This record gives sequence, structure tokens and C-alpha cells, in this order.
Amino acid sequence: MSEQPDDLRICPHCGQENASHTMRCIRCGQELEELFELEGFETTGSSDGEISENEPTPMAEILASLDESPLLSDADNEDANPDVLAEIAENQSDSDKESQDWLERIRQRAKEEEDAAGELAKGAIAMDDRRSQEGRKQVDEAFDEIMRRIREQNEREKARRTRRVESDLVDENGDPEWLRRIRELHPDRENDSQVTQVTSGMKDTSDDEWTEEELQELLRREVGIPETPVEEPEQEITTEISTPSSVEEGVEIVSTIPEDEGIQGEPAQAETEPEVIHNIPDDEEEGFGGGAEDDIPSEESAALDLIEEPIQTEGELPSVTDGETEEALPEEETEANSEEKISEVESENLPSTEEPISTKEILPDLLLLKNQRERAQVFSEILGQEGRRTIPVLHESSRQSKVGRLVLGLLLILGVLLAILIGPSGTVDLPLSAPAAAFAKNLESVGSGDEVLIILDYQAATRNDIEPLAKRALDILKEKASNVRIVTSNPENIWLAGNLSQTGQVPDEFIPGGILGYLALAVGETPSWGEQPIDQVFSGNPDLFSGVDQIVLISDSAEFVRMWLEQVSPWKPEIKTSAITTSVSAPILLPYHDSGQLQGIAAGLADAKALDVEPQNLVNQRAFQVGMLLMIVVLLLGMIMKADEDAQRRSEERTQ
Amino acid sequence: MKQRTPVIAAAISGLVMLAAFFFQPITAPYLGLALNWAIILSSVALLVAIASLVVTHIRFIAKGRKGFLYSIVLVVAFLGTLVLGWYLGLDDPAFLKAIRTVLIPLENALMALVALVLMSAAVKIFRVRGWSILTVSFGLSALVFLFLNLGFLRFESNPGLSQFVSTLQGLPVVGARGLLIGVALGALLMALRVLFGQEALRE
Repeated sequence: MSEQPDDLRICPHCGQENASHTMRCIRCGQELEELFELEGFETTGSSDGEISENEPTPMAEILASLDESPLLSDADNEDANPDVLAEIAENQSDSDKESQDWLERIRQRAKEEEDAAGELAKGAIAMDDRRSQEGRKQVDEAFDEIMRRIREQNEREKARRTRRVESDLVDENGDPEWLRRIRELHPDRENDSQVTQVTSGMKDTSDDEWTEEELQELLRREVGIPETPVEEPEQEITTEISTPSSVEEGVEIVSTIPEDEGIQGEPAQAETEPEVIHNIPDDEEEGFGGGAEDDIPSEESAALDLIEEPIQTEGELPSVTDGETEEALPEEETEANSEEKISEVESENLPSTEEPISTKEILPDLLLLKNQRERAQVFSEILGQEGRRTIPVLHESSRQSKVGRLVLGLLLILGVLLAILIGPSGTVDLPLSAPAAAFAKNLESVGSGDEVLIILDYQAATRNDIEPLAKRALDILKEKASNVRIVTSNPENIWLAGNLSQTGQVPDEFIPGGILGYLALAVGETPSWGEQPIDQVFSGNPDLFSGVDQIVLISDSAEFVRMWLEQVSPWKPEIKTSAITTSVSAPILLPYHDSGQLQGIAAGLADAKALDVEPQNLVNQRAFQVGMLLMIVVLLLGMIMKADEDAQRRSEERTQ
Repeated sequence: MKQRTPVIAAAISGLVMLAAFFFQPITAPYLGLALNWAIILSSVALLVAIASLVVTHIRFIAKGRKGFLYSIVLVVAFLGTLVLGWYLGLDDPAFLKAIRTVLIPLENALMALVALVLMSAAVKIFRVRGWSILTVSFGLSALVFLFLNLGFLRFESNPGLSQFVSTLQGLPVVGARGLLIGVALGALLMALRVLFGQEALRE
């Protein structure tokens, strides 16, 4: 057996000591061949170490060695050279002698040991078997993977080739699909020279895109519809109308494609190809997601999505009657050259969407689901509304509205004029309001020598509603011999104040800054280091509120009165405040009267009775009433007109 | 920082003014001084606005822009009022009468136009807005209160009806109360937002 002792084996390559049962060196991996050496048996190849055991022998060398093997060649070469046979016989006899020698040794060894193979040999053989099984398994898996890839690639290539063939379908005349569509769309602008160019462009562009036929095939697969027979010419025409986009794509790249690459396809397939317009659902079902699209490569499915849009808008495509197709075609084909036709096809296809066809006209030829039909209808309506106004404009100045406004204005002016010119002025006989009575009572409470501050803040437009009351209030205060001080922060009241008094005076003081000025005067005190800037504008006493018993606000602005009551009055709570204002502002100020912040409110001509204003000082009450009546009539007129329009619309809807 | 600076200044000013209101009368002179500053600033802003208006219309006249005749009227009226007021004085009766003669008819005409536009809007509101709660309530309330304020109806002989009418006339006060409460709450919240600098975060 081995020359080395049983407990340790020394590697012949690196000298590493290994265990007795190890088959390879633990350091260098060298196989310890001595373990397998039998006495009297010389291994030629392996002992040299030139050929590693791990290196797989090439299959060609194995086959070549088999061919060269004399054992195999004996049966084949019956008529071989006798010299060669003799030589072979000699070699065979020598090898037989050697084999007999080592066979004898093996047999002797087998007799000595229990197992004829030996323990070490059995372990090595078992390990080799296991290793060979693992390696074979890996090789088989790798081989299967390669074969699977090859099959998938082959299938893809087949599918691609099929689509290319389908996209190049031609009819019995040799005309491709796209050419028939162009002829249907533009029968009077056809040319054979253009045909070839566009064909080549169409063919190459359609390689990577889904065509109508492919989509039809997909739809048939999904829905399970049988193929439409070719004999139906109407469907064929309808299909040709449906996809001008593909024609445009083909036209765009026509200059880059040579003409001779033209039509390559199978006419037989073109004849059997059904001509059905389809509309593939995109998002309503999971059909595409889990159906036929799973078989489509990703880039092709993207192209499919792009194609869906023109399919959806088939209702917007230019209308082409079935009759005006191929009869006029030959005459027109000879007239124009190819380039002009290409540009005309483009230019006539693009603006054709401006005149949409009713979807209902195409619906019988379409294969649409209900949901798709509704969407197409909505889309058609949206396109039809393009450029139109969808929201009614509030201030649309039409001629009719101008005339109506003129009539209204003339009616108002005429009514008021008649009321002024004809008959007496009249009087307003309204019940006395509580705030007005409180105002009058508060005014009566002013004693002789009391300081009354009058704040003016109204516009000239409302003077007729305010000034009669203000005049009367000033007269009452004058009768009571109270000290009245009139101030304003509104520049307009510098001129209007002259209407309140007989002498035509201007206000006593002008307060800059509006409500801020009043607040500064109410809050601020004269500091020890000097006077405030606002003190310099006063001609009299800069302390506006000193000794004041009553404040009367004469204002047409509820906002001003509110700011006064909320900002200024809290700093002077001992001063009573009342207001003369307009009828419009009265509702806003009434809560302040209810809360006690305002002693009284005299609002407009309706409260003139509370102050006993003489009728001649008031505006014409009859004109006022006529104006109010006209407003009521106009308001009712608007309601009636609206009701009449609604009734007419309902009747029209019923008749329709 | 550029956006936050005004907000910080506004918040500090508000807090100072609020404190000045609470610590009266010690802070009264300072509060009055701050309000005077505000008045001066607003007056200067008014002067700037007047100058901008005049310069703009002078530019319109120089360029001959469409409607520049109105600009001429504006500039002439402004300069006339300024010169006459400066020369004659504000208390001159002739000057006051002249201004009043122009001012009162002008504003009355504007108010009459407002009434006309309101009438036109009352006609159109139902055609444009259609029948809705807003339009119907507007129309009915306008009709009722216009008619009540005419003074044609007198219910002194019937106390119950008179009470009913007075209740109807009090309805606008109810709306005014709600409006005032809403305005007050809005102003309060706005002031709090300014004081706490929350307005800067919105930008």
C-alpha cells in the first residue's frame, strides 16, 4: 500500500503533514496520489502532475481518442493493413502480460483484505461519486438555464417577425394597408410614387409599434370575437378612416427610407385579416394588465398606450363618405407629385379635427363598450366646446342689455321727474322709531352753556339724508344756548359745513389723521417736555374733549361711528354720544344703541319726524316714494323674466 | 429676515401700544406721541399718493394716451383748487360756494348711477344666478323692506300686526349684530396673529 506511515502523510508538493485519511494536502491542495497507489501499478499521467484532475478533458479530445482507440477501430477496419495488425497483436500481447501481472497483485491483495476494494479506496470512490454528482448537477442546471434563454429569445424573435409580417400586410393589388387608408381619406390626391416611399417609411416605423391589426388581434384574443370576413367592404373602409396618425408617422420619415425596401408581406394574410375598428380598454378592467399585454414587451406596450388615443378620438376624425373613394382616385393620382401630396396629407389631416363627426354616426361600425362610448362622447363634447365660453359672463355687454339698462334708467328718471313736477311733495308718515325718540330726548337734555362737540364726517351724496336733521339739531342746540364746536377730519366737510349754518362758516377745527387724530386727542396728554405735534393744528383749545358734555356724530358711515364708539369713546366714558346718520347705516348702528353706547340715532328722512323737521326742508317725499316703487317693480320684473325663461326652456325640452 | 423684519416691528409696536393702553395714565404721553407719529406717516403717505396721481396723469397727457382728456380735466381741477385755495383761503365764501356747486351735483349724480346699477343688478341677478336660496332670499327681503319703508302701510289699529311689522323691521338689526360680532372676532384673531408673528409663517 502506501510507503508513508498510517498516522501522517507528508505532501510531496509542499511538505505539509496531513492526516492519514486525507486525500488532498490541507495546505496546497495537492492530491496525495500515494494513497491510491497499488503495489506494482505505475500511474503515468497523474504521477507527472502535468494534467490536473480538476481540468475537464475537452470533448473533442475524448472523441478523437475514442476514434483512435484500437479497440474501437478493430471492428471498423476489417481490411486493415496486415503489418499494422501484427504490430497491434504484439502490443496487445505485451499489455496482456502486464495486465496479468497487476491483476495478479490485485487479486492477492483482495485475498488479504476483507473488502476487495479496500477502505481507503472505498472512501475515495464515494467522495468522487458525490463530487461528480454535484458537479453534474451544476452543469445540468447551467445547461438548462442556457437552453431556457435560447428558447425565450427564439420565441421573442418569432413574435417580432410575426408582427413585422402583419404590419406589412398588402391586399390583392399589392397595396399596403396604410395606402388604402390614405386613398380613402384623400382619393383625389394619390400618387404611385408616393406609395412606395410612404410604404418604406411605414414599414420601418411600424417595426417597433403596434399596428391596427395587432391591436385587433389582441382584442379578439381578449374578447373572443371571431374574425370578421373579408367580404364586408364597409368595415374595411371604416378601418381605413380610423388611423390617420399612423399615416402621418409614415409620412414624416419618408425621406430617410429607401424606396426599394417597400412592401414585404404576405398578401394571403392580408386578405384574411379582419377589418374591424376596435377600442382596447385601457383602465376600466384588468384586461390589459393581466391579459394579452403580459405577452408584450414593455416598449411595445408603451407604444400601445400611445396608439390608444387616436382610437378614442375616432369620432373627431374627418368625415369620409364611402362613395368618394376609388373611382376618382386614378384620375387624381396622375396630377400631383409625391411631395405635394405628402404635405397635403399632413395638412389636411391635422386641422380635420376642427370639424368633429358626431359619435353616433360612427358608433354602429365601432366595437365600443358602454363606458368607452360615454367617454368618447364626453371627449367629443369637450373638443367641441374648445374656444367657446362655458361660464356665463356676468358683465357681458350685449346690445340687448344696453338697451334694457337704458330703458330702466329712463323709466326711473321719468317717474321721479313726474313725481317732482306733478302734485305736492308729500310727507313721510312713518312710525317714530325708538332710537330717533331717544336722540330727540337726549338733545332736549342739553342745557344752557353745555359744551357740545359736533363731529362731521359725511359725503355730499348723502347730504339730503343728513343735512335736514343736522340743521334741525344745530338749531335746537342754538336755541338752548349751548356752546357748539364743529370739527371734522374729512376735507369734504370743510365745504359742506356751510350748508348747516346760516352764516356759511367752515368747521371750527380740522383734525388730521381721521380716526387716529381723534384717538390721539382722546388718549394722549400733553407731555411735560412739550406739546404733541397735533396740538399745533388747532386754532383754539387743543384739548378737544375738555368740558364736553355731549358729542353728536354726523356721519353717513357706519364704520366711522363704530370706530368712534369702539376706539375713542372708551377713553371718554363720561361724554354722551349720539349720531345722525343715513337710513342705510342705521341697522349697523342699532346694536350700539341697544347696548347704551349711543344715546340716540336719527337715521335719515324717516326720523325727521322725531326732530320736527319742517317739510320744506326735506326732499320731495313723493319722488322718493316713486323711486322706491320703481325699484320694487324692477325687482319683480327680474323675477318674472327669469320664471318666463325657465318656462320657455322647459316647454322646448318637452317638445324636443 | 427681510420678510420677518416688518412682522417683528409690527408685533413689537402692537405689544407696546397694548401695554401703553393698560398702564394709563403713566404711558399716556408716549401713547399720544406714537399716535402722532402714525398720523404724520399717514399724512405723508397721502401727499405721496396725491403726487403720484398727478404725475401719472401728467404722464398720460404727455404720451397722448387714450382718454388723456380726462387726465387734463383732473390736473386742471387739482391745480385750480390748489391755487385758489392757497390764494383766497379756505374760508372765503366765494371759494366755498364754487367748490360746493361742483361737488354736490357731482356726487349726487354718482349716487344716482349707483341706484341705477343696483336696479340693473336686481333684474339680472335671477337670470345670471338662477333660482337659489341666496337669490330668492335676497329678492324677498328686498321687496319686503322696500315696501315697508315706503310708509304706505299703517297698522296702528291692529296692535298684533303692528308688532309683527316692527319685528320684521328688526330683522336687519339681527343681521347687523351677527356681522359686527364676526368683524370683532376677525379683528381680534388678526391682531393676535400679528402679535405672535403668525403672519410671517403664512408667507
